[in-house]
Amino acid sequence: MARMDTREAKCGIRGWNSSMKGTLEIRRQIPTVGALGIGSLGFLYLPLITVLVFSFNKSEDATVWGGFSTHWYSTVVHNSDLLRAAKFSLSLALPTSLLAATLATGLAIGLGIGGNRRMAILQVLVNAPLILPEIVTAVGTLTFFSAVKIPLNFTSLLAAHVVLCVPFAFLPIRSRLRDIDLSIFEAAQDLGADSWRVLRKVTVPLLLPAILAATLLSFIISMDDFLTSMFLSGPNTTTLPLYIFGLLKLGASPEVNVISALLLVIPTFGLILSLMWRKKRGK
Amino acid sequence: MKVESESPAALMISSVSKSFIDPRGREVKALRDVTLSVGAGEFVVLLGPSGCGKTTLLRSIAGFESIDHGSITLGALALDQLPANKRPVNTVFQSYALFPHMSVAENIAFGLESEGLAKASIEERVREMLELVRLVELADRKPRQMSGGQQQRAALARALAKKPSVLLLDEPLAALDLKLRRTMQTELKRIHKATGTTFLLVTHDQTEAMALGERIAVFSEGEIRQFGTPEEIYENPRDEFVASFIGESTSFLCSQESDLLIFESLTFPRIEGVTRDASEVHISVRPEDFSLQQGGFLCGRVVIADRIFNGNSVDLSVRLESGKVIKILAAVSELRDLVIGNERDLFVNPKKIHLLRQSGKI
Amino acid sequence: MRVKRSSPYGPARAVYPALTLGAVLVGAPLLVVTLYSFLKRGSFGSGVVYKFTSDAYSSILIQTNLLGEHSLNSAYLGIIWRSIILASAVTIFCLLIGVPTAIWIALQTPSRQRILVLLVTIPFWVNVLARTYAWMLLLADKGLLSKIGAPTLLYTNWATLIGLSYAFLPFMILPVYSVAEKLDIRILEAGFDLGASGWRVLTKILLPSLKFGILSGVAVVFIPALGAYVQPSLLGGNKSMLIGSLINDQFGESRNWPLGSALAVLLLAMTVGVLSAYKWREWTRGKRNAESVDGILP
Repeated sequence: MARMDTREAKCGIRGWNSSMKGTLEIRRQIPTVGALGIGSLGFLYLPLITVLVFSFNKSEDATVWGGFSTHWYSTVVHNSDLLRAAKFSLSLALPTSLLAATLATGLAIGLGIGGNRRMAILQVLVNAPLILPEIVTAVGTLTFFSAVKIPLNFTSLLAAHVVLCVPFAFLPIRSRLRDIDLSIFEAAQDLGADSWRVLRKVTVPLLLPAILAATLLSFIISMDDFLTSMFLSGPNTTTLPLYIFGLLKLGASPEVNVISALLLVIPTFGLILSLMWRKKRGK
Repeated sequence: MKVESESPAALMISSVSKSFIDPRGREVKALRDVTLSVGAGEFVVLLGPSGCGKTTLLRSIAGFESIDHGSITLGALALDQLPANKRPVNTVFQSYALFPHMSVAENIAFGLESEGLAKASIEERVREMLELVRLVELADRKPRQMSGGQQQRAALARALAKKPSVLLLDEPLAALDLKLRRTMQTELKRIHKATGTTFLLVTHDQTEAMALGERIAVFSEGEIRQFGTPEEIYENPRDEFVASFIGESTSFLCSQESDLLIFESLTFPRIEGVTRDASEVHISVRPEDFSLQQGGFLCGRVVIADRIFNGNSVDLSVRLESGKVIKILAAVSELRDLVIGNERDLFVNPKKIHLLRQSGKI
Repeated sequence: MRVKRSSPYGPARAVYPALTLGAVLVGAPLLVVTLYSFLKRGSFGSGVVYKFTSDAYSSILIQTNLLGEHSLNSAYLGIIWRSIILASAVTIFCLLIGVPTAIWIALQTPSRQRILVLLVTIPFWVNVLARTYAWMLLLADKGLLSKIGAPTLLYTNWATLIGLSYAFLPFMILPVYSVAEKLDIRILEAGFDLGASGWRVLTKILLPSLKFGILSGVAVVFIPALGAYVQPSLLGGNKSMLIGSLINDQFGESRNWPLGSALAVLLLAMTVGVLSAYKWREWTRGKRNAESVDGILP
């Protein structure tokens, strides 16, 4: 077995902490994780790159390469049905994200440091969309609306989206709240603030980055949602994913190539931008 | 409505008890029937090892813990009936708990804003506080841009801004290095005198307690063992816990024989308070009250086992025949005569033998 | 319900809106769908007739042919069975690929780890439709993979398997990674130092330490895979239906709401079953840490 010192000598990389110095040796000895690791990254990205490349495919047959062209991009951008669906999704996602973030913040604050059993059960219910398969909650909501005779329109869809997003919005907010020294809130009370003042002047300002993250997260989840929107779709509530699904059902096509590529590129850009912005703020 | 307590009243803690349920479901008695009376404007220190209940008592006074029995009153005000934000009591937290998104000045102003004061008066009070703790230049800094000592002073200023009747300090100096701690101790005393507010400070450091407290309450396992001035506690520790917690001392379980107390090969004079019938007498003596020089009461022969030069004193360990080691304190001037292995006479100052316990006849 | 506990963060009442929403739009729907599963099918498609019956459930088990003969409903039961098998296969695939990947990432330098985690997370942000479509392109009749000699897998069970594994792989990698990166690498070094081979260190030291993360990953992959709809619908074609497509059918063409509800309740029961197994395991192992496996359930 290699001794500690030879391991350290083999590793010429500076800047690692001492526990990392052994990793070269370990990687060699633990069966082939490296190859699998790189392979799985390839597996993850091959399809995405394929779509991206093929969105520039000139030919009408989506799967056969016919040369480079941005022709289909202009077709897609001028597709009025697509644009209408996109606008609808946006008009749904914006209020959803704001409502979900607000409710999730209230949840995180009210739960404080623990609760009784009744609260725990309700908490499980609120978090159910995270744990249950989406089709279960979608069916449930559909049957519920039907039983109580709630029509399937924008408002009911909005409510369903908010319910879907709240547990996701809750996570970053709760996690940030836990990280803050509890004494800060005790200090605010100690100095005479009532609970509303603590909320306004201390809690919300300190939670703001998490609340923003929660809003963004809810926005994306609402924009991307398919199953619930499909089950609850009414006459005038065609979301973007629903429209796209309709196209997909018909099989591959150049427009779909372009749409998929856009669905790929936009969130990726957004993610990278948000990370760069966060890095700047951190400094 | 907050009671304007410009004239400080006495803080009375009467028979306060509190229990917790620990994660295993067992009941832990954090405070057992604690009674304490703090005079207006006093600087009282709650001293004890960790987990002894002193912090629980402090938090109960602040309003962050409820009490199971007893009462806490401030003059005529039933403090324990008020929620934390309505008590004329303010806290300096161990972690300082400064609001990270506000400047020092804003932190200090926070407590004043909920009192409905005019903006100008708030600004003036903030300035007053900044001058008091000597942080005027740092008024607009955020906490993360300040050192530990500066943050501590900011926390102090924030807590004093509302001119509370009692200021609670929860191990405020624990995070500071030794030199800074000494400086801050002086600062605390100065600020205490300047404001005349009642200070109640919690610490586990007995030198700090002795340096700061006008009176010290020594805590152990939820009870107050002794409450008195530093001198009283040092000179007359009431029981073994206090004796060993404050300063150093060696205790001896002695038998009694014709007016003398016998411990192995040593003899001590029968001190005041020891009854003739007592068969077992527990006494303690501090290192500085033993000596190898002539004078005082001769106890017996010892062998010098070890010596450590401290700069201004010498820590000696001397051994009895049985092997028991006693710590004594010697002067630097004796250094030359202190040779390890030498046999010497051990003397004790008879006035400085403390009686801890005694029990009856056989 | 009076909230006796107060919160240091603000008014405890702030919790009510979310809790009410949860009760009304999550709790009530679950009750309603259970109710519906016990009702009679409505005559004109959508809806139910309020007559109690267990028809829906029995029809899952038993089918009656034109001659009135009863037999085990091979179609429905087959779908359910296939869904379980498929979800298990997806989970196994994700384990085999995901766990080593997570370990690999954890062994990199901290800055590389950040980049790799980002790379793993990005596909998660891409709409599932686009991700599934990508495989439609690759697996189609004249698709790219067919060009390099692979058989046409589109509209087969394999396509669904690939599509689902692809979608859920990040969900396996990330929980395992989050446990792996907190491990002290010295326990592995200690293993080597004591003479164990690489394989032994892996199976006897590393994997058991990662158990917590692996179990989280399994839960987050298996349960959604059971109820998946998009991938089987787009990639699996009509030949291999899964529970998700079957349910959707009942609310669409087949117009059998009680049956759809019953299937949804069945899916719910399976989910609760898997989660209970986790909780039971946690309790019997005396886990007293505050965080549960998913961080959500008590």
